[in-house]
Amino acid sequence: MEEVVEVTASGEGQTHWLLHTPLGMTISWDSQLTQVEEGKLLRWKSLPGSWLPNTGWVTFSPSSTNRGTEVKLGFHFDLPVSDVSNRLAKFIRFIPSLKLEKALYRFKSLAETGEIPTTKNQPAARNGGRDQ
Amino acid sequence: MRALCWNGVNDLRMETVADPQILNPHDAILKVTMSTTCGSDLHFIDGYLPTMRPGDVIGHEFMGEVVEVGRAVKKVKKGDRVVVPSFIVCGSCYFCQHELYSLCDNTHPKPELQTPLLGYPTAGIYGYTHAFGGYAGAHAEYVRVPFADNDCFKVPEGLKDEQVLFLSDAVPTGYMGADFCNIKPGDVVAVWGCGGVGLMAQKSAFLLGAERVIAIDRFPQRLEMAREKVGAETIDYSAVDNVVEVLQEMTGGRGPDACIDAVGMEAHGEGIGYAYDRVKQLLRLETDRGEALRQAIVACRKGGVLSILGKCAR
Repeated sequence: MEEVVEVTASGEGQTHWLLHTPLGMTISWDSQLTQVEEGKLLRWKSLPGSWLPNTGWVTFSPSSTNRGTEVKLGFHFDLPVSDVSNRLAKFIRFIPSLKLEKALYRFKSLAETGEIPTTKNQPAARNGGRDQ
Repeated sequence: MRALCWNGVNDLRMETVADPQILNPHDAILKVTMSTTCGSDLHFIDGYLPTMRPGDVIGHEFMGEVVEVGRAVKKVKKGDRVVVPSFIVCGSCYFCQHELYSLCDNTHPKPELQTPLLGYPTAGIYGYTHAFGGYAGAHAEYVRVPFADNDCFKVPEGLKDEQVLFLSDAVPTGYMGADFCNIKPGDVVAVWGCGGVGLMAQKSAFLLGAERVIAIDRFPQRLEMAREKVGAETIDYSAVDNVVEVLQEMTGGRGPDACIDAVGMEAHGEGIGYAYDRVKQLLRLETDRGEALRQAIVACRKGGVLSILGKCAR
């Protein structure tokens, strides 16, 4: 999802979000952590004044015996009513499944092994000898 | 460094590429001492297996000397002489913990290229299409080995490179094919294919207790290896009318107790079945030519075991 959304920690419980849309427009907002249930739930909400008000959450729950933990990631966007936002809504609906799935997949690798699999910068006979 | 790269269908070239670097904490860098080719490389060289990109370094069956390790590598040390399997495995996920290493959950950087076709991502493989991870391969002077502690097998003193190289891929693949067969005393095992994997499957079948092994191929030198090195009986399919009938004659009409297909999607054959496959494949209506597999299915005795090693797209 890194090519669509960038999230950086920006303070105590705060994160800065950048959403890159297909037409080159970038939307940014700041979010505040609003709910923490240790080992179970994180919920955050965009700060007042955001052009694209939204909330997001991630939940952790035990899977069946010896199958680890199930992680779910969700978003809710409150779009202002307009043509632009209708188009934006379509885009936001379009990102999800594949991109979110990959983000979760990468998180799983990081949690289970301490690293995210990558081939970036490995040798290849293109781009001057390395993969980008 | 210099590396053998894929540039298109039937277009491999030696190219100059950057040296590999440590990219993740569990990586090691190997100076490749030996790297061998695999029958399964034919599938992307011939253009039947998609998602190669021009400039990909190929090669997934290799060994070498460790020249650098990442900060999280504990067991493997600089200077170790190691054999590396073709699949990259993390050792921590559910699948690795259940010895289903090729199904590792944590070594595929591009699962989105694979899940639409296969349902779930497999482990990554060196030099074997982007659908299988897009990792740079080992037909090169150096190669990066992720999760080195799980993927590097140290070579004991006194063994030559030639004696251990095939433990990377051909031996374990053949062994697994025989292991699938649940071999019992008295069993007759037929193996289609006398290439590296086929010969290893034949040898493994004997090691696991088969009484007779029947090897099928058409190349005289391969059939000779099956007889001389493995002790198998052989059938030259190009010299007989019907392989299935010959197998039945050789087994008192019962058929072999287990049949191993070590040929797969680019099988050659004789007659109408092969011609049909070839036409469909040329028209890209079908990527597989399954003549060997069809014979194995029909020849196998009632209630016998069919073990399929040759890669097929479906």
